[in-house]
Amino acid sequence: MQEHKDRAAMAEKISLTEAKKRIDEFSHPKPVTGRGGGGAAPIRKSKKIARRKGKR
Amino acid sequence: MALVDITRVYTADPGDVWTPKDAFLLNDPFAIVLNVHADAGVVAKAPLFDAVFQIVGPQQDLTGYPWWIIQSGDVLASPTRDATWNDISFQWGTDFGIWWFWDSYYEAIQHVGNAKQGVFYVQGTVNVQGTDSFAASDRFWFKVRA
Repeated sequence: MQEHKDRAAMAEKISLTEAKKRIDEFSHPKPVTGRGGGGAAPIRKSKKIARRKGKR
Repeated sequence: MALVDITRVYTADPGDVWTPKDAFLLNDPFAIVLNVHADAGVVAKAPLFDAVFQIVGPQQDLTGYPWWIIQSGDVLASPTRDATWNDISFQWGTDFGIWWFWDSYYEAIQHVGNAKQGVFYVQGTVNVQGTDSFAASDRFWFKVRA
């Protein structure tokens, strides 16, 4: 139940005007910590496509 | 055909980057994938390229519920979350996928107001250094719920 409430609060919609009024509440906003990471790989043709080409 | 092209853009589970996924829970793993085609001549010359992966909040009416951040004690509109990956070499042939991922969608946008649930889109660009070549993707829409 608490988790549900937390998630609901986290997803609350707040207008810019409302956010400015409530800025004290957000005075310690979460920093941009989620930098993420990158990946890459060749696009491999699927076996289905390869078989089709082979039949030609 | 352009020397470099983004043939496809989509969101996906980082564990399955070849399968587009357009609906996420806030804490689901999240990736933006660009499928890139580069001319063989470009690949042979082996220049570096820069990529931008962008999540966009389509609500940009400042009287509504646009995305916002707090910077220097002020609330500012911030309609996108950008991830940049610079100095990438062409090393995966002429057709390859590049992606940017976060352990959860929430991790990517935790500092952004109004980005926690709704319908958003991603897009991306590829910029080949030292040439006139670049590519911009279409949009791919996706949904997030808490």
